[in-house]
Amino acid sequence: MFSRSVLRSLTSDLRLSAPSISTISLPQRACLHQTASLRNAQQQSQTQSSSLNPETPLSATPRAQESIPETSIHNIIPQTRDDIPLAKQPVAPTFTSPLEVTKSLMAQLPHLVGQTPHYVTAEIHARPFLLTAGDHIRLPFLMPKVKTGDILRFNRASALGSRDFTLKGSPHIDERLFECRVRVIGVESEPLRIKEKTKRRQRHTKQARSKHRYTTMRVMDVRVKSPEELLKEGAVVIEDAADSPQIEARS
Amino acid sequence: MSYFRITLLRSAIGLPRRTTDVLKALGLKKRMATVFHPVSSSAAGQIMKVKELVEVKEVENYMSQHEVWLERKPDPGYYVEKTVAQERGESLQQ
Amino acid sequence: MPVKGLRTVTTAQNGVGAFIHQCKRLDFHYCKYGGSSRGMLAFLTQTLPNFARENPQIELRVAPRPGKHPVIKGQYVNGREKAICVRNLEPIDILKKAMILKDASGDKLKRTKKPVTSINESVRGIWSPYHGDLRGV
Repeated sequence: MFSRSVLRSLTSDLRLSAPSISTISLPQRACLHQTASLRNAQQQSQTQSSSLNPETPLSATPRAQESIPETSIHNIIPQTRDDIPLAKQPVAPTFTSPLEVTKSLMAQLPHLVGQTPHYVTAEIHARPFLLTAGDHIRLPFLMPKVKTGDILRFNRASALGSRDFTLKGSPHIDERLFECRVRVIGVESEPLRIKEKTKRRQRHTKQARSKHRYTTMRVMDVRVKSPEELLKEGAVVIEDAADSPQIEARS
Repeated sequence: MSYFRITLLRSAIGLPRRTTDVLKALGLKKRMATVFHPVSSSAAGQIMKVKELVEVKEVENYMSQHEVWLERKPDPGYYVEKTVAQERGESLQQ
Repeated sequence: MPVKGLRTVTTAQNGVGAFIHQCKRLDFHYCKYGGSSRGMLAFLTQTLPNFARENPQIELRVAPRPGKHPVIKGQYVNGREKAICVRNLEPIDILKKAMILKDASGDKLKRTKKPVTSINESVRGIWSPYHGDLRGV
């Protein structure tokens, strides 16, 4: 327990001196924080209690130290949250296994690639949007942490097709099979809505006002990757299975 | 240790008082609420009482409310590929 | 006179290739003595330099307008203008208003029910009863 008491005195010292520290001494402080977090990790492996309780000053103060210099220097907004796994957050995916494409899909894919234009049913927060290149989207919500001019990739698609062929996902198509790029154009708002709220047997009426803001976007391209491209990116051809995705031709 | 994972699918509105009380004892306050109870005869008896209203699964691990919510949360379906600042930096370099 | 077929002309779609910010110019008007301009004066001295650095594509104009409330006006590519009165607002709130003007498209506010608007032809074509197989019920 010696290290814990040392750490606590250290952090309390830091907290006391935090307002007076100027930006010049920042690197030093960062070093201190690093060592603190290292020790913290060691301690966590020894005693489980400190990791379980986030209210203890041990874990609370390093976080505060981290946030203060960052905002003062770069004004960086953290892009991720701790309480949600990264797979459910808008973060670029990292793949551990190569893309697996069945033989039949590989054989049919050139037909789909050859026929333009393409459409894609992209799912944003499980809401489907049928998109073609050049479309204007007004999302039904204000997308957080994006700025005007950013380029986004839509990576969940339930269907991808051209005039005569459709590749249907079960439930989603692998995101490495296609590219759907979108540019954020700006933020739009709706006209002010005023709803009159009345109660019975009262002359008084209440006005509820609402004016929501929505993110607008433009689809830059919808593209299906050709078999050669997929092989170049390291796709593996496997045998057909019962539930493997297939391209359906229009009847 | 295994648990009963109980989800209330139908509400107890219009049912006898006893049924409502059993749901309250199980900790089910509204429809689609999910609770976990260790497998025991008393829990099984309570479930028997309201078996028409709930869906029961036997699971190995207990899940918190947050984890149950995460299970239902869909993927965002997008990610930022290039920000304006990055693009501006690239164009300045050229 | 022969009938001329309609010629397809490409329509400008901002953001497909190059992207142009719809906001061209932001005008900041203030009064030097008025109490309602106090927040605006603080904004102009503290926040505006940073804002200008982050948005090099927008022209910023700062002009006094004595005896009147402070106003931010945005000029847009489509020729329209939007103005927001920022009297008695704190610098942080004024920054939010400036962001609204910066991100706006300049169009009139509309209530739209459909999320996607497209000028492209339908990819799958129009359904016809005379083509395709007969489907059993």
